Amino acid sequence: MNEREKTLVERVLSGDLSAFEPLITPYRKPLLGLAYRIARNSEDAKEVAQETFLRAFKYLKNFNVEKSFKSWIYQILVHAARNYRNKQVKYETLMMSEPVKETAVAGGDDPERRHDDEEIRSRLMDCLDVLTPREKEVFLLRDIEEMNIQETAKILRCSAISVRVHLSAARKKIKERIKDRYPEYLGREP
Amino acid sequence: MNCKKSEKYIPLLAGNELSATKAAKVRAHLEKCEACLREANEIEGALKAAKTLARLEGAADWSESEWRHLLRSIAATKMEKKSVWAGLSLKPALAGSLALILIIAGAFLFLRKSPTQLNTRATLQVPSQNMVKPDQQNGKQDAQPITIISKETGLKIIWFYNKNFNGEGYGK
Repeated sequence: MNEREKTLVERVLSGDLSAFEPLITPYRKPLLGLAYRIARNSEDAKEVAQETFLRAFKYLKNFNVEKSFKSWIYQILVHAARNYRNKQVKYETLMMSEPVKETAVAGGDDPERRHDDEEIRSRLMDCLDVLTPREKEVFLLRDIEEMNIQETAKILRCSAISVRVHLSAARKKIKERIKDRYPEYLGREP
Repeated sequence: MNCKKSEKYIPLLAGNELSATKAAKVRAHLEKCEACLREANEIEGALKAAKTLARLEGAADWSESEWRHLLRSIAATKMEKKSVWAGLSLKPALAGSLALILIIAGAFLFLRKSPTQLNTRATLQVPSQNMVKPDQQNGKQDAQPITIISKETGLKIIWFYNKNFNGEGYGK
């Protein structure tokens, strides 16, 4: 854990609640981005990310300052996303409805940029759709968030071997999807 | 290394997750096998493409009002007291509790059984009041019945022990 985060955590724990904002601000975008890629919907992603920050604050006393705050907060996010997904599955089964379609979270007011963003997002989501929930978590943490195998295993509370197995399967599936639908990314004609 | 083994390792080679020795073995195979080399290039390309898509995708962000609202919600949240389990990961704690429960249960079961019951699965009833004693009426023999009932099969064996029996009439 870096010294800055350690100091901020200690300040929050000693009662200076204003130190919590600088502590979580570096994770403001990354956590929302990851939540969005897991949840596939901006509203759900915001709910998952909000739950993550609230839980991080609520249980900060249980956090071991000698360990990585980043791993800890990502662990909370993955757990919150799983809970949310389970609730959604139950709700959708109950209502017999289609899963909620993804909506844009970024892109600003520029319509052209927004269109490009949506196109890229839908392609990325399309690739991620072929993965199982666990493969998706592993792929996002290791390949998109660029965490190492040990960190990924710690966040997902599984072994490094399990991470390697799921990562291997995920990369094969992603390759097949890109080869099949977006061959231009592999330097081929569509 | 053959193609089957190589196929297993190629996705990990793309992300540099193999040990130096294993990576060298896979690369040596790729030099000889065109199909595996193509597979390795495709996986590497796909991985790069996915990373590029993720980078190009406009980063999701909170609006300032949403972020302020979240910070206000956090400020209104009560912090939990430190748990006694804090710092313990779930797996060792769970394994420890389970081991303790098994030890207690084992000790309880062991102490409940007497040493004779531990050696045999049959129950011993002696003397049985309902058992017929042979020659009880004429008093020629003084027989003590011992009943053994198997717990597993329900087989009942009644053994009469006559202390006055002298073996007369046998062996002739």
